[in-house]
Amino acid sequence: MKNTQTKQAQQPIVTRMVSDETLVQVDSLHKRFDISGDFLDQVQFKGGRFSLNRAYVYAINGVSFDVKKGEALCIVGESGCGKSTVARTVMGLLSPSSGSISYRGQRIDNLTDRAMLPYRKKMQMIFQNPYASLNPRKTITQTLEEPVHFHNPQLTGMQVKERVSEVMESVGVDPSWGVRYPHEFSGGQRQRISIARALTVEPEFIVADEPISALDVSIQAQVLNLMMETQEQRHLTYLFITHDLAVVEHFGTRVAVMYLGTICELAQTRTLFSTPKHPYTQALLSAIPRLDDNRPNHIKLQGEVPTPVNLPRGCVFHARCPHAADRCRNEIPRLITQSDQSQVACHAMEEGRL
Amino acid sequence: MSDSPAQIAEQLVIPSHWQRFRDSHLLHSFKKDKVAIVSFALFVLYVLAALSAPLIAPYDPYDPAMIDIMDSEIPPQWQEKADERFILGTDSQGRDLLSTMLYGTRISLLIGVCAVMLQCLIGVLIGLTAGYFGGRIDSFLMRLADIQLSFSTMMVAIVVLAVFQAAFGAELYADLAIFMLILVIGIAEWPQYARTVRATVLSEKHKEYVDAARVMGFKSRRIMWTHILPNTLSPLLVISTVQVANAIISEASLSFLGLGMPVSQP
Repeated sequence: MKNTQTKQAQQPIVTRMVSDETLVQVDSLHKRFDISGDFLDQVQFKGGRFSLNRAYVYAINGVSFDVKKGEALCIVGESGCGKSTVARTVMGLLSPSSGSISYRGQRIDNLTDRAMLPYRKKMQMIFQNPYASLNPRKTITQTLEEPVHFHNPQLTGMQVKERVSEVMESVGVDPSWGVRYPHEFSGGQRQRISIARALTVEPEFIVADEPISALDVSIQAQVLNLMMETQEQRHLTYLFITHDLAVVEHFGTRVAVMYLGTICELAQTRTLFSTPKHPYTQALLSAIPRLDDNRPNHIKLQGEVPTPVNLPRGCVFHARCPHAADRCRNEIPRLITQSDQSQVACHAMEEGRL
Repeated sequence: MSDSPAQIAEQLVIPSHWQRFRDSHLLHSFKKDKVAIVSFALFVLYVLAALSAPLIAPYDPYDPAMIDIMDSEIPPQWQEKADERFILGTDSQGRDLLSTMLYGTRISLLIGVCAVMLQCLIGVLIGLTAGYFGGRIDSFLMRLADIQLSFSTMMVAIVVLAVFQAAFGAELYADLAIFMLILVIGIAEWPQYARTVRATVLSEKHKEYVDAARVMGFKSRRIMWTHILPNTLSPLLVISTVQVANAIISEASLSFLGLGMPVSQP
């Protein structure tokens, strides 16, 4: 929180033009990973006969959300809750087990690589680790020019160079550094170059998978502000994956809180931070250390996050929830829109027990 | 930053290959490393000797007119009963040993380098495919490699070459010996490359730059060859150096067994 305040002091909140137009729609997305291994690992001798034993990690369990044009939708949650899987599935790096992903109303999750190509120009991704996301054998210029050449075969070499150096300047990387290799740059510079790579194809939607969590704290604000400036200049829409609540408060227009592969609350940033409704969100927000409070009233959750291999029945949060009732143990809650436009998946909330 | 993009692009004129090489880290560290310089000098010496064999060799071992069986088995100069015409003496056919060695180096290097290139080609192709696509393709190709690996190079070479010699006669064999050797040694040892490449591809393909390339929409073939392969090169270079030596030794032992280069060729 302290961080947020200093960041806000440095940089006025960027005005965003959020429209009602839905850019990306994710509908009841499921993703499970097979962990049963090969055939011999699966065969099991039990009760006098052989059977096949299959096991799955249920990474995403029915996630639905819309991304509106011009907004920055943040997805928060603890490690292993499926944030990154959502990001990678939206980008088509993973294929969903069920459910659909649409871009401007067109389903894109079942397209062939060739049919996907026009959408690749529109949707780009920024990765978490700037030390691994640039090819160490390519110079910066090569890394940045290749996508432009690939997606715009009609451009001449000079036009490609112009576009690349324009993008490099806009992210604060000197175009004359292009002859260098990634290992000659610092983490923050590399992340700027990764952002530049995503921008070279002139996308309108960018998925950022924890883009600042691998960076030094002093660099985080710079990169974050760079992303906000580019959003304003290029009218971008972000899907921003993070676990840093301070960043969310600074950056996001709306926030989706994830727990064990499901969204438990989706609300406007201000609404979520002022009146968190889901018990998990309340616990999460109460865990933020505050300077103005010397008698912290953290909500202490009991137990551990259940394993995504054996999902609990009913609400995934029921085992740790102080308000859990019988219904919570048996029925999976759906996201229900509240009076202040926030969406909450909680039976207790729906029944007015909270 | 007052320059227009066009001016900046002009400043970014790519230096020529020679300029780039002259300024490169490679040349710089080479100059500093005395062992590397000596090794490189020796290597160049061998290659030069092999290439200029017809110029510097005192005799042509391929020319029967220059060979006299009466000169056979003359010891080298520094021993008794030596002949001053033959510095290193002669072999059992009466050929000058120095000339035979010079000409022989050509064949050894040719077989060594070509066989390794063939191994490398097959191995990289299979290893890259297996590592990148994974799953069943990977299992199939790697079992194939295991089968190949379970036959020792020598055994494969002996069987293939002996069958070839028996089936097509020694004369045709003499003409094709060098190609057969390259082929046999090349095919027998590809799993070395395939396994090394596959292992590095497996560790590289989960890195985010590969994901970034996929998000850009690049085709699998482009990602495999231009993004992943360059990052697997260093282990490839290491095994290549060993494999060239191995191939030459294989060729020598096959010749010793009478299945290598024919006796009429050095």
